[in-house]
Amino acid sequence: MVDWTQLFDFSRTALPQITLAVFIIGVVLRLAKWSSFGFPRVIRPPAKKRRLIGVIKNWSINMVPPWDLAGRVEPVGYIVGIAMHIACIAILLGAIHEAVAMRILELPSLPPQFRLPIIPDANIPTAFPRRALTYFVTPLFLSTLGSLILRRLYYNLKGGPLKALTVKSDWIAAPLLWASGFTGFLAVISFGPYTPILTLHLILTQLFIMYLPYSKLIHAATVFLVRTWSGFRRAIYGV
Amino acid sequence: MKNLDGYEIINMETCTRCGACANSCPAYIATKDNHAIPAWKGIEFRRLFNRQRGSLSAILGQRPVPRGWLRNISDRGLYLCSLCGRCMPGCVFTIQNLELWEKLRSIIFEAKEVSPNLMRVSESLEQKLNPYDYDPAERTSWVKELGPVDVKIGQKAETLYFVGCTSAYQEKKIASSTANILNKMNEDWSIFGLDEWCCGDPHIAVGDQDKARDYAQHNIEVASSLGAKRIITSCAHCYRMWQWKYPQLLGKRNDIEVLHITQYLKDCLESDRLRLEGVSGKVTYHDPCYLSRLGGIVNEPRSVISKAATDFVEMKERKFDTYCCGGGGMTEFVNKDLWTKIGDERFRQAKKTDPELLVSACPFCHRSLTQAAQRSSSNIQILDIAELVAKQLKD
Repeated sequence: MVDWTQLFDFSRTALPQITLAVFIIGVVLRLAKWSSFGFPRVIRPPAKKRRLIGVIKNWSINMVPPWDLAGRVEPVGYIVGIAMHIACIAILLGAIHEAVAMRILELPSLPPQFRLPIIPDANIPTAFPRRALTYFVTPLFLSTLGSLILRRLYYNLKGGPLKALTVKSDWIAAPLLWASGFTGFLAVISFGPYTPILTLHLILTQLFIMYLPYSKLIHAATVFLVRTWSGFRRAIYGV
Repeated sequence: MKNLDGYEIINMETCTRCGACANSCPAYIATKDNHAIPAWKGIEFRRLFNRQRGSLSAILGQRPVPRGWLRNISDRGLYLCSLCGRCMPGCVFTIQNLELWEKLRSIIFEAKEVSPNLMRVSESLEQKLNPYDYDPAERTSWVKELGPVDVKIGQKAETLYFVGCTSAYQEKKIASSTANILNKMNEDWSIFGLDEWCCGDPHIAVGDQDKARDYAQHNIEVASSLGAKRIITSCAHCYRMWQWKYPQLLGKRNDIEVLHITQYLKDCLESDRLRLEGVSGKVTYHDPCYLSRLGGIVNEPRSVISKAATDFVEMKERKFDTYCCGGGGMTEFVNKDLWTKIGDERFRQAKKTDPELLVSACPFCHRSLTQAAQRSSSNIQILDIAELVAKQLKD
């Protein structure tokens, strides 16, 4: 029999420190690898337009179909992907949990608006309206991410483009994130035994955080560089 | 892996294998071959990279890459690509893929696993300074064949017309039209003559970056020795090489101004040095990838065409999002079937605008679209923009 109380304490105390260490080691290894290749200055003619304008455009209008080619050629997949990412960010910002955040960030306590209840039904405010976060944003996140996972599964079984693009680690990242979100949702709506579900959620979330810098999930950070650089490039080229 | 830089690694590692790039890749759309999907090349590139410079290799040391991996890349998907760069805007993150594919080609070249068809191009460049296996002495034959007769060859001049291999040997009317325009403008101009080597773009397609650098060095030296202050070219590939790649290859900015013919024509039209007769009928324009997305020139051709055409219609896939004609990456030589299919698709898109005239600004595009028009028995006339202007010059 699993001692859930002990596991719950472990997931709130020792595990966050392991998570932090593994995460930081991963980030350091990545940064060391990138910097070992250097970032040479690219010799080009003078920029035709201001680089800042290119960056701003690339982070705004160029992300919206029809200006965005990726969104124009596959609008459904694009909208589902964007909705998933926005919902994910909203959940992360709106639901930083007291137990993990306090341990990892070494803060004595978080402001009340960032706390979610450890005990169900406690009336602590969240950064976003609780009902919207719980009953709209989270189901949106789970359904969009779930459909992206099913899309990959479908093409792997049917033999479409994603079959050639799927590697083993693709079956870890997204399902892990989905499971993390799902157990969190169950915990917040008090579905099932609270402590085991919350414990699972804490463990899965921390596994996800540990896994992040060693996987394609690193795109969460690199996308800001890549899209900014391509904005620079478009400005330099004047397109 | 030694020639990779941090920008390229970060771009490569941002790919999440979502498959969005497939729907905008002309090669994948033409073949429905999963190995044509840009992200497939990314996956294979990462396999090679991780083998040599991944986290495990930091502990275990670099491991040799099995030759089968390289052969797999070369045989299955690397050359199902026209290096058009459409996978960049087609990526949800706008990963700068094109440089990665060029680097991957150079890795395959160094490992001597290049497609045999492409090796023939490399041999032709080595022996004859052009990718088409033509006699180098025939590089200026278009002058005798099509005129004008008073073209200065290899002489000092402020403006040098860099003809390029495709215009010099195959699409000679483009070279002749450009020469006529420059004469009409009373420019002090000359061509390189037999000292003109290929711009080096086919070397990039083959993967021989060192040779591309040598050719760049040579061409720049010849231009300087002829006292040129500016280079004009009528080829999008040559323009991209001179304007964007030569500074990277040689590590310094060009001293010489580089113009595509459309930029020159726009200036001439705006200053009223040049006037055009109108052309009747509907006209549409195909943006060459190497001029628009990879060259930065989208408005100048439109300014020029609008001075001649009263009924100008745009294609749906245009400007930065332009669709490839199949001409890049020496695809005609590596995989003629792919070249044909991509060209047919682009011509089909052009036909949707119901034009009488289809204009482009690159001899590769002209060649590809002309052949596509012939295959579909179409009456649509295909003209390069230099040909159009030369035809419509007002006295």
